[in-house]
Amino acid sequence: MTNDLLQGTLDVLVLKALSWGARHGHGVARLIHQTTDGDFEILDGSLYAALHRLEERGWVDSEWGLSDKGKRARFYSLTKRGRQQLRLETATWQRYVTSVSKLLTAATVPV
Amino acid sequence: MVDAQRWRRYLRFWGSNADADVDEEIRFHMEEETEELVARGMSHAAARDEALRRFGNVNHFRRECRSADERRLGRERRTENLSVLVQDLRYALRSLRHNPLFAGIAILTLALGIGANTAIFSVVNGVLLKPLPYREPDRLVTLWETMKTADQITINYWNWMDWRQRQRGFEDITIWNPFGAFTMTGNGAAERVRNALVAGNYFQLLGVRPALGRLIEPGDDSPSAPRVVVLTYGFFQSRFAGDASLIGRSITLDEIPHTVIGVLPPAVRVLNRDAIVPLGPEVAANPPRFARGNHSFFGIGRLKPDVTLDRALADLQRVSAELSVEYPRENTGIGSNGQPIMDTLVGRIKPALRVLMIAVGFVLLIACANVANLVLSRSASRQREFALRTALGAARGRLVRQLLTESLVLSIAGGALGVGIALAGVQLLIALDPGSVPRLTDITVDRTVLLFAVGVSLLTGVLFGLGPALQSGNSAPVNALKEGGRGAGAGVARQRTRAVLTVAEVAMAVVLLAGAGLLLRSFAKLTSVDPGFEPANVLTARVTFGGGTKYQNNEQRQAAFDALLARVRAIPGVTHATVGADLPLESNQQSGVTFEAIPVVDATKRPMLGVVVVDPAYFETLRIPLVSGRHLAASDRPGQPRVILISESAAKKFFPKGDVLGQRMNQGDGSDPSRWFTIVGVVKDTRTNGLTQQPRGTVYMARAQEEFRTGWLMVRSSVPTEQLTASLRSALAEVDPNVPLALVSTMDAALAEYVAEPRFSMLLVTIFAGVALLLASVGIYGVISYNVTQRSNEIGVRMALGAQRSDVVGLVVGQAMTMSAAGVAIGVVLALWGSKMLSSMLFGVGPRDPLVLGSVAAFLILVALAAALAPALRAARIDPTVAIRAG
Repeated sequence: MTNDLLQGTLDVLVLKALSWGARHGHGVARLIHQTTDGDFEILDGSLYAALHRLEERGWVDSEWGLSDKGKRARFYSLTKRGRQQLRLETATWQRYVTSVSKLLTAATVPV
Repeated sequence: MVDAQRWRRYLRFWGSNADADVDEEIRFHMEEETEELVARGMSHAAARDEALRRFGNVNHFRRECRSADERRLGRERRTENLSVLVQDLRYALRSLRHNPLFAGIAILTLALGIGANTAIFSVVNGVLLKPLPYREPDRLVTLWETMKTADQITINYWNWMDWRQRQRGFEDITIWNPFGAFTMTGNGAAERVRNALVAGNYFQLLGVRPALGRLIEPGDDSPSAPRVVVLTYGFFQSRFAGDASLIGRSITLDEIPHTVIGVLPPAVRVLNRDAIVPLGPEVAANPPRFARGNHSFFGIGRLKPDVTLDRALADLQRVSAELSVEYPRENTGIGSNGQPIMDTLVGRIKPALRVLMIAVGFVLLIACANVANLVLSRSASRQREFALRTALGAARGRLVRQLLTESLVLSIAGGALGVGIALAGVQLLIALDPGSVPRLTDITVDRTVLLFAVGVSLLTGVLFGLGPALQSGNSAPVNALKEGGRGAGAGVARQRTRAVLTVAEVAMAVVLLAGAGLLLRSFAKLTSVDPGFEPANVLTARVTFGGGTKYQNNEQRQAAFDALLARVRAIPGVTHATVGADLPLESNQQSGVTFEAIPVVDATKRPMLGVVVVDPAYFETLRIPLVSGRHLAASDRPGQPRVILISESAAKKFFPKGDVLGQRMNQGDGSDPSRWFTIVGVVKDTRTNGLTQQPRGTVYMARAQEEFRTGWLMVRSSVPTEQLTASLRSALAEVDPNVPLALVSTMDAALAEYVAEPRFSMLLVTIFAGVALLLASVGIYGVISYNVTQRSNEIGVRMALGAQRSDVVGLVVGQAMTMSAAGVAIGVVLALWGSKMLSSMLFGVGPRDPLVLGSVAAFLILVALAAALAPALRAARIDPTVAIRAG
């Protein structure tokens, strides 16, 4: 997999993780590891890099707050533009998956 | 540890710290992850290792996070800056709109300063800075020959041929002569066409490309080459309406058909010539005219890339020395010299431009000082506003920035208006064209000039804005608020700044006025010079009975002139008519002469006298008085002894004992027996070389006894000269319809041309000095008037304590006098110091003329007095009870 594709995929996963509400970096990591059942080997560091990159692009916003255990933590949330981006990426991803699976499950040689 | 964290939080309050944030974020992640793994039963150490493993290369990701943050913060900062600028601009515009009088005066003042500077810079740019329209113009050098008694003489054709063969410093050398004229026939009325003769290599050497067709090439120079002509762009447009089909066709010049081979580009002008012809065929047609010993060409050389000017000239001088040895008769004492072509073209105008540039620079500085004064007095009244904003938390930098933005808005508005003024100013300059500013048509408001205007505007804004802005930012808010807006604390410093600015304004105005005064006085002297003849009511025109086949010999030409003069004298209103080879102010022909009675000591230092061939009526027509002896007469015909008149100063110089009449003079070294003349009369001097030069001594020869083919018709009339032109034309047409009456003008106009350039500089400097004076008096008025307002309380107290109204007037006027006296003193010192720069532009007045400096000083003191009087009277009318209560 090329680096771009990997990064793009990571970005979508992070955006998705934030779509249910603001979360700190560790929370994002936990969510992604749990929902993907450890299918991907994702380094936590790369998630942080993705969060900062997304903030630079204006898709997420960050704010310091307190974690549920009362520690200072940096919380990330989706911006309006981030939400739009997530919708766009999801749609693109689904179109891609549909066409790839159509081809892979085709019974006859396409004319 | 806790302290450090608290410290960091404190810092964060003032702005985020990207690096510390990333570190804290990663530490939080590690702690959470470790805790979670410990909760699942790992040992603390193992859990920590696992968390690290899952994170990956910490340093790498930390770097990525940080650089993303830095990019984001940088962008945010830029956006913020921009929005602050927009905010400042909006605020500046609003505050200027609220104060239209202030804004109007400031913008107008700046526009005057910037406009004048831009206009003069456009001249400097066009004349001095724009490159010439030639290939690598830096390597072009004008060349000439020298004599022991003359620094600069024209070049001989054959000497040039030898130069080209033998010299080693120049790639090539070319020559040209721009003083010829053809009569063009065959296209309607006969017409005079100003021509230049150029060597075949002329255009190649300069590196000029044609606008149409081809230019003259070396091949056109051979004696047998067909006759060709190249037209200048202006002549091609005005005479042939730019008709391209002319190329290849033939036009008749001096009865010889010439094929038009090309047209020069508009930027290339060969002096003011119309047509350019190769000199080879001309030389072949008239060899004696170009023989060794006859000098008639200007030279241009192109330096070899690796040779310096000095070395090339030294090498050329070596060739000249060789030629002196080889041709001792013609070339003894003849040398060579040269200078960069740009110096030749603009060297004369350079001092004037430098003076003008300094003058407008002063105007701009005065404008800046004035606007700074305005801004200062305005910022005094805005003191409470600034204090309030500071008290509410505005940083000092923000206030300074805000004020500077206002200044820049003013200066840019002034600059925009100034460019408008400059555009009009350049039109005015071109209209005032003294005819002596070279390359005047190259003057336009182009991109360089606009860049200059923008740069000057910005500089101006910073110059007058920074001082007041810093001072306002300085004031302590508490004081300003307490003082109830009177601002006496910071006010003292501000008042001092304003006084210094005013003193500087006065000083600069003195310098400008002194310059203007000197130029005015010099101009007055120049126009009152007695030229030695009476120019009023004299019409002049050039007539040639020359080229072609009709006039075979001198007798036929002389007969034509006789016929012409007889017809002209018969025109009603004409009182006198004559012809002469030269006009009195511009006698071109000079000759080495030998007096029979004066032994020759050094053959190379033979006396030089101007030689003018004239009709006997010349002296009556121009009203040049006879001092002694007799006039030239109709009886001085060919075959009779040759006679001459000599000018008074020359007579006194060579014959101080007064025995000049009857002396014999030879034109040349005495070797030609046919060139002996007897002096029969002495006439008063006339200025022969412009107005400023002392007469150089002239002998007048009788037209009937000399070759005469071309000359100036001079007609004195009792009716207005304009009415005469048509009658003169028909008189000439009766003699020969194919001869044009050329260059019709009046003697007054010819005289005016000699004062045109001084008039130009004088007019401009006077205008600038006037603007400077106006601005300086406004400055004085502003400062004094503001001061009276500030001190009305104090004045009220004084009056209540018994001061008389006259005391109050004295107090206020005294303050104005102190400032202007200081300014005048500094200005006079500056003027004395800088006056040398003017000396080359002055005539008949020293650069430190005490009369001029004294009257300028007195004048400025008077103006300051007048400017202070109104506020002083206002102060005297102050009602003490009202003033004290208001305080």
